[in-house]
Amino acid sequence: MTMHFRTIKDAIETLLVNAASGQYRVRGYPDQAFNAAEFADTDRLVQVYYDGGNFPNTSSGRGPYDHRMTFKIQLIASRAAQCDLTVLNDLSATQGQLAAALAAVEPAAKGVDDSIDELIDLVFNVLMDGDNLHLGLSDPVGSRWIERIEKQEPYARGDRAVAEATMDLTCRRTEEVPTTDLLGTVDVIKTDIQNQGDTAARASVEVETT
Amino acid sequence: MNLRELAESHLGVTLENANHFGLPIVFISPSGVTYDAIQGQVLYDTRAVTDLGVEIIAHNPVVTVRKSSLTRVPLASEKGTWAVKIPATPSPTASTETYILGRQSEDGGSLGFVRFYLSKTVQS
Repeated sequence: MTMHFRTIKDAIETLLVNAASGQYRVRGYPDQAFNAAEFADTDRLVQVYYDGGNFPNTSSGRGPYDHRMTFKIQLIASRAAQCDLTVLNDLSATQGQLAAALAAVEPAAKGVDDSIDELIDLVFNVLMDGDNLHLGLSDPVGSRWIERIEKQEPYARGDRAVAEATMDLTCRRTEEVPTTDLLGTVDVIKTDIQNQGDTAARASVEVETT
Repeated sequence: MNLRELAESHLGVTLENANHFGLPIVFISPSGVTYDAIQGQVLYDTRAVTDLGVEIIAHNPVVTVRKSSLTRVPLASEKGTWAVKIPATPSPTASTETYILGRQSEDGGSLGFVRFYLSKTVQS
Protein backbone atom coordinates (compact mmCIF):
# COMPACT_ATOMS: atom_id res chain seq x y z
CA MET A 1 0.00 0.00 0.00
CA THR A 2 1.44 3.37 -1.00
CA MET A 3 2.15 5.59 1.95
CA HIS A 4 0.32 8.88 1.96
CA PHE A 5 3.45 11.02 2.12
CA ARG A 6 4.22 10.00 -1.45
CA THR A 7 0.75 11.01 -2.59
CA ILE A 8 1.07 14.29 -0.73
CA LYS A 9 4.46 15.03 -2.29
CA ASP A 10 2.94 14.49 -5.74
CA ALA A 11 0.03 16.73 -4.76
CA ILE A 12 2.37 19.55 -3.70
CA GLU A 13 4.23 19.20 -6.98
CA THR A 14 0.96 19.29 -8.94
CA LEU A 15 -0.26 22.38 -7.08
CA LEU A 16 2.96 24.21 -7.82
CA VAL A 17 3.01 23.15 -11.48
CA ASN A 18 -0.59 24.28 -11.97
CA ALA A 19 0.16 27.68 -10.46
CA ALA A 20 3.50 28.21 -12.20
CA SER A 21 2.26 30.06 -15.31
CA GLY A 22 5.81 30.13 -16.64
CA GLN A 23 7.15 31.93 -13.59
CA TYR A 24 9.16 28.97 -12.37
CA ARG A 25 9.78 25.31 -13.12
CA VAL A 26 9.08 22.44 -10.74
CA ARG A 27 11.10 19.32 -10.15
CA GLY A 28 10.06 16.54 -7.80
CA TYR A 29 13.48 15.64 -6.46
CA PRO A 30 16.53 17.40 -5.06
CA ASP A 31 19.06 17.60 -7.88
CA GLN A 32 22.31 18.78 -6.39
CA ALA A 33 24.26 19.07 -9.62
CA PHE A 34 22.13 21.71 -11.29
CA ASN A 35 23.63 24.16 -13.71
CA ALA A 36 22.62 27.79 -13.43
CA ALA A 37 22.17 28.07 -17.19
CA GLU A 38 19.89 25.02 -17.12
CA PHE A 39 16.98 27.04 -15.83
CA ALA A 40 17.84 30.19 -17.70
CA ASP A 41 14.52 30.05 -19.56
CA THR A 42 12.52 30.86 -16.45
CA ASP A 43 15.43 31.79 -14.16
CA ARG A 44 13.67 29.98 -11.32
CA LEU A 45 13.35 26.41 -10.15
CA VAL A 46 11.35 24.77 -7.35
CA GLN A 47 12.34 21.33 -6.08
CA VAL A 48 10.03 19.36 -3.79
CA TYR A 49 11.03 16.37 -1.75
CA TYR A 50 10.06 14.46 1.38
CA ASP A 51 12.50 15.36 4.12
CA GLY A 52 11.32 13.06 6.90
CA GLY A 53 8.61 12.35 9.43
CA ASN A 54 7.88 10.98 12.83
CA PHE A 55 5.21 8.71 14.25
CA PRO A 56 4.02 9.12 17.84
CA ASN A 57 4.20 5.72 19.47
CA THR A 58 1.03 3.81 20.19
CA SER A 59 0.79 1.34 23.02
CA SER A 60 -0.89 -1.26 20.88
CA GLY A 61 1.78 -1.26 18.22
CA ARG A 62 -1.04 -1.40 15.69
CA GLY A 63 -1.59 2.22 14.99
CA PRO A 64 -3.09 4.53 14.12
CA TYR A 65 0.08 5.48 12.26
CA ASP A 66 -0.13 9.22 12.64
CA HIS A 67 2.55 10.51 10.27
CA ARG A 68 3.85 14.01 11.02
CA MET A 69 5.78 14.68 7.85
CA THR A 70 8.08 17.43 6.61
CA PHE A 71 8.63 18.36 2.98
CA LYS A 72 11.47 20.52 1.77
CA ILE A 73 10.55 23.05 -0.88
CA GLN A 74 13.85 24.21 -2.33
CA LEU A 75 13.71 27.44 -4.31
CA ILE A 76 16.49 28.44 -6.67
CA ALA A 77 16.79 31.56 -8.79
CA SER A 78 19.51 32.62 -11.16
CA ARG A 79 19.96 35.94 -12.83
CA ALA A 80 22.43 37.69 -15.07
CA ALA A 81 23.06 41.41 -14.89
CA GLN A 82 20.53 43.41 -16.87
CA CYS A 83 21.16 46.40 -19.09
CA ASP A 84 20.05 47.92 -22.36
CA LEU A 85 22.11 45.83 -24.75
CA THR A 86 20.54 47.44 -27.80
CA VAL A 87 22.38 50.64 -26.90
CA LEU A 88 25.66 48.95 -25.99
CA ASN A 89 25.59 46.94 -29.22
CA ASP A 90 24.72 49.94 -31.36
CA LEU A 91 27.91 51.08 -33.08
CA SER A 92 26.37 54.49 -33.72
CA ALA A 93 25.43 55.09 -30.06
CA THR A 94 26.82 58.32 -28.67
CA GLN A 95 29.07 58.52 -25.64
CA GLY A 96 26.18 59.93 -23.62
CA GLN A 97 23.86 57.09 -24.63
CA LEU A 98 26.48 54.50 -23.72
CA ALA A 99 27.10 56.14 -20.35
CA ALA A 100 23.36 56.23 -19.63
CA ALA A 101 23.00 52.54 -20.51
CA LEU A 102 25.90 51.58 -18.23
CA ALA A 103 24.56 53.73 -15.41
CA ALA A 104 21.28 51.78 -15.59
CA VAL A 105 22.88 48.33 -15.25
CA GLU A 106 21.18 46.23 -12.61
CA PRO A 107 23.77 43.97 -10.98
CA ALA A 108 23.06 40.25 -11.02
CA ALA A 109 23.23 40.00 -7.22
CA LYS A 110 20.46 42.57 -6.80
CA GLY A 111 18.32 41.04 -9.52
CA VAL A 112 18.60 37.53 -8.11
CA ASP A 113 17.80 38.69 -4.59
CA ASP A 114 14.61 40.33 -5.82
CA SER A 115 13.84 37.24 -7.87
CA ILE A 116 14.15 34.75 -4.99
CA ASP A 117 12.05 37.00 -2.75
CA GLU A 118 9.32 37.04 -5.37
CA LEU A 119 9.55 33.25 -5.75
CA ILE A 120 9.15 32.79 -1.99
CA ASP A 121 6.08 35.02 -2.17
CA LEU A 122 4.61 33.02 -5.09
CA VAL A 123 5.16 29.58 -3.59
CA PHE A 124 4.02 30.56 -0.09
CA ASN A 125 0.78 31.94 -1.48
CA VAL A 126 0.12 28.75 -3.44
CA LEU A 127 0.78 26.35 -0.58
CA MET A 128 -0.91 28.38 2.15
CA ASP A 129 -3.91 29.35 0.04
CA GLY A 130 -7.10 28.58 1.97
CA ASP A 131 -8.38 26.58 -1.00
CA ASN A 132 -5.30 24.37 -0.74
CA LEU A 133 -5.85 23.39 2.87
CA HIS A 134 -5.70 19.75 1.84
CA LEU A 135 -3.06 20.38 -0.82
CA GLY A 136 -5.52 19.62 -3.59
CA LEU A 137 -6.35 16.12 -2.33
CA SER A 138 -9.89 14.85 -1.78
CA ASP A 139 -8.92 13.19 1.49
CA PRO A 140 -8.11 15.55 4.35
CA VAL A 141 -4.54 16.49 5.12
CA GLY A 142 -4.07 17.72 8.66
CA SER A 143 -2.22 20.76 9.96
CA ARG A 144 -0.74 21.85 6.63
CA TRP A 145 1.71 24.58 7.54
CA ILE A 146 4.89 26.26 6.32
CA GLU A 147 6.94 26.29 9.48
CA ARG A 148 10.10 27.94 8.30
CA ILE A 149 11.70 29.77 5.41
CA GLU A 150 15.46 29.94 5.21
CA LYS A 151 17.22 32.08 2.65
CA GLN A 152 20.89 32.00 1.74
CA GLU A 153 23.12 34.75 0.42
CA PRO A 154 23.43 34.97 -3.36
CA TYR A 155 26.57 33.45 -4.83
CA ALA A 156 28.20 33.38 -8.26
CA ARG A 157 27.96 30.32 -10.41
CA GLY A 158 29.50 30.66 -13.83
CA ASP A 159 28.58 34.02 -15.30
CA ARG A 160 25.39 34.31 -13.25
CA ALA A 161 24.34 34.96 -9.69
CA VAL A 162 22.35 32.28 -7.90
CA ALA A 163 20.17 32.52 -4.79
CA GLU A 164 18.54 29.71 -2.84
CA ALA A 165 15.86 29.44 -0.19
CA THR A 166 14.21 26.50 1.54
CA MET A 167 10.71 26.15 2.96
CA ASP A 168 9.74 23.50 5.49
CA LEU A 169 6.18 22.37 4.85
CA THR A 170 4.72 20.15 7.55
CA CYS A 171 1.44 18.26 7.66
CA ARG A 172 -0.15 15.18 9.19
CA ARG A 173 -1.88 12.17 7.79
CA THR A 174 -2.66 8.75 9.17
CA GLU A 175 -0.85 6.12 7.18
CA GLU A 176 -2.49 2.82 6.39
CA VAL A 177 -0.51 -0.35 6.32
CA PRO A 178 -1.43 -3.83 5.19
CA THR A 179 -2.09 -6.19 8.07
CA THR A 180 -2.49 -9.85 8.67
CA ASP A 181 -4.23 -9.17 11.94
CA LEU A 182 -7.28 -11.36 12.09
CA LEU A 183 -9.17 -9.28 14.54
CA GLY A 184 -12.48 -10.12 12.96
CA THR A 185 -11.91 -13.85 12.91
CA VAL A 186 -9.68 -14.53 15.83
CA ASP A 187 -9.67 -17.93 17.36
CA VAL A 188 -11.56 -17.79 20.56
CA ILE A 189 -10.76 -20.35 23.14
CA LYS A 190 -13.35 -20.50 25.79
CA THR A 191 -12.25 -21.85 29.02
CA ASP A 192 -14.07 -22.23 32.22
CA ILE A 193 -12.50 -20.14 34.87
CA GLN A 194 -14.26 -20.09 38.10
CA ASN A 195 -13.70 -17.19 40.31
CA GLN A 196 -13.68 -18.11 43.88
CA GLY A 197 -17.19 -18.02 45.16
CA ASP A 198 -18.75 -17.43 41.80
CA THR A 199 -19.80 -20.63 40.19
CA ALA A 200 -21.66 -18.95 37.35
CA ALA A 201 -18.92 -16.65 36.03
CA ARG A 202 -17.03 -17.46 32.91
CA ALA A 203 -14.28 -15.71 31.07
CA SER A 204 -12.95 -16.13 27.62
CA VAL A 205 -9.43 -15.64 26.39
CA GLU A 206 -8.87 -14.38 22.90
CA VAL A 207 -5.76 -15.53 21.18
CA GLU A 208 -4.56 -13.43 18.31
CA THR A 209 -2.95 -15.20 15.45
CA THR A 210 -0.54 -13.43 13.13
CA MET B 1 66.41 44.56 -22.40
CA ASN B 2 66.16 42.53 -19.21
CA LEU B 3 64.23 39.33 -18.87
CA ARG B 4 61.05 40.97 -17.56
CA GLU B 5 61.00 43.45 -20.41
CA LEU B 6 61.55 40.55 -22.77
CA ALA B 7 58.64 38.62 -21.22
CA GLU B 8 56.43 41.69 -21.53
CA SER B 9 57.33 42.13 -25.16
CA HIS B 10 56.37 38.50 -25.77
CA LEU B 11 52.80 39.41 -24.78
CA GLY B 12 52.61 41.10 -28.17
CA VAL B 13 52.76 37.61 -29.62
CA THR B 14 51.10 35.42 -27.02
CA LEU B 15 48.16 37.71 -26.26
CA GLU B 16 47.84 40.11 -29.16
CA ASN B 17 48.82 38.31 -32.32
CA ALA B 18 45.63 37.47 -34.24
CA ASN B 19 47.39 34.46 -35.73
CA HIS B 20 47.89 33.06 -32.25
CA PHE B 21 45.45 33.76 -29.39
CA GLY B 22 44.67 37.41 -30.10
CA LEU B 23 41.00 38.34 -30.40
CA PRO B 24 39.46 41.82 -30.74
CA ILE B 25 38.30 43.22 -27.38
CA VAL B 26 36.29 46.40 -26.84
CA PHE B 27 36.03 48.21 -23.51
CA ILE B 28 33.40 50.86 -22.81
CA SER B 29 34.04 52.99 -19.73
CA PRO B 30 31.29 54.11 -17.30
CA SER B 31 31.42 57.53 -18.95
CA GLY B 32 30.69 55.97 -22.34
CA VAL B 33 34.17 56.20 -23.87
CA THR B 34 34.87 53.28 -26.21
CA TYR B 35 38.35 51.71 -26.26
CA ASP B 36 38.61 49.40 -29.23
CA ALA B 37 41.48 48.15 -31.36
CA ILE B 38 42.62 46.11 -28.39
CA GLN B 39 43.73 42.54 -28.86
CA GLY B 40 43.64 40.00 -26.07
CA GLN B 41 43.19 36.39 -25.11
CA VAL B 42 39.78 35.01 -24.14
CA LEU B 43 39.23 31.84 -22.16
CA TYR B 44 35.55 31.07 -22.53
CA ASP B 45 35.03 28.22 -20.10
CA THR B 46 36.55 27.62 -16.73
CA ARG B 47 36.64 24.59 -14.49
CA ALA B 48 35.09 25.08 -11.11
CA VAL B 49 34.11 23.07 -8.07
CA THR B 50 30.74 23.81 -6.52
CA ASP B 51 30.03 24.05 -2.80
CA LEU B 52 28.91 20.45 -2.97
CA GLY B 53 32.22 19.31 -4.42
CA VAL B 54 30.85 18.75 -7.90
CA GLU B 55 33.25 19.66 -10.67
CA ILE B 56 31.62 21.66 -13.42
CA ILE B 57 32.64 23.46 -16.58
CA ALA B 58 31.16 26.93 -16.35
CA HIS B 59 30.78 29.43 -19.18
CA ASN B 60 32.68 32.18 -17.50
CA PRO B 61 34.77 34.22 -19.94
CA VAL B 62 38.10 35.56 -18.75
CA VAL B 63 39.92 38.19 -20.82
CA THR B 64 43.66 38.78 -20.58
CA VAL B 65 45.21 41.82 -22.23
CA ARG B 66 48.60 43.48 -22.34
CA LYS B 67 48.54 46.31 -19.83
CA SER B 68 50.79 48.56 -21.90
CA SER B 69 48.24 48.44 -24.72
CA LEU B 70 45.53 50.02 -22.57
CA THR B 71 45.19 53.76 -22.41
CA ARG B 72 43.06 53.33 -19.29
CA VAL B 73 42.94 50.22 -17.09
CA PRO B 74 39.35 49.27 -16.21
CA LEU B 75 38.68 48.65 -12.53
CA ALA B 76 35.63 46.79 -11.30
CA SER B 77 35.84 48.77 -8.06
CA GLU B 78 35.50 52.20 -9.63
CA LYS B 79 32.21 54.04 -9.59
CA GLY B 80 30.09 52.92 -12.52
CA THR B 81 30.11 49.87 -14.73
CA TRP B 82 32.49 48.89 -17.50
CA ALA B 83 31.17 46.96 -20.50
CA VAL B 84 33.37 44.52 -22.41
CA LYS B 85 32.65 43.13 -25.86
CA ILE B 86 34.26 39.90 -26.98
CA PRO B 87 33.69 37.58 -29.94
CA ALA B 88 30.98 35.02 -29.15
CA THR B 89 33.28 32.25 -30.35
CA PRO B 90 37.09 32.14 -30.59
CA SER B 91 37.16 33.74 -34.03
CA PRO B 92 38.08 37.37 -34.82
CA THR B 93 35.19 37.57 -37.26
CA ALA B 94 32.51 36.15 -34.95
CA SER B 95 29.62 38.30 -33.76
CA THR B 96 30.23 39.98 -30.43
CA GLU B 97 28.73 39.42 -27.01
CA THR B 98 28.53 42.15 -24.38
CA TYR B 99 29.46 41.54 -20.76
CA ILE B 100 30.16 43.73 -17.77
CA LEU B 101 33.13 43.60 -15.42
CA GLY B 102 31.94 41.27 -12.70
CA ARG B 103 34.65 41.43 -10.09
CA GLN B 104 38.04 42.90 -9.46
CA SER B 105 40.56 42.30 -12.20
CA GLU B 106 43.74 40.39 -11.61
CA ASP B 107 46.75 42.55 -12.28
CA GLY B 108 49.73 40.65 -13.60
CA GLY B 109 51.86 43.52 -12.31
CA SER B 110 55.46 42.94 -13.23
CA LEU B 111 54.51 40.47 -15.95
CA GLY B 112 52.63 43.19 -17.78
CA PHE B 113 49.17 41.71 -18.23
CA VAL B 114 45.73 42.28 -16.71
CA ARG B 115 43.05 39.63 -16.45
CA PHE B 116 39.37 40.57 -16.41
CA TYR B 117 36.49 38.43 -15.16
CA LEU B 118 33.28 39.06 -17.03
CA SER B 119 29.65 38.75 -16.00
CA LYS B 120 26.84 37.96 -18.37
CA THR B 121 24.30 40.63 -19.22
CA VAL B 122 20.83 40.24 -20.63
CA GLN B 123 18.46 42.74 -22.16
CA SER B 124 16.58 44.63 -19.43
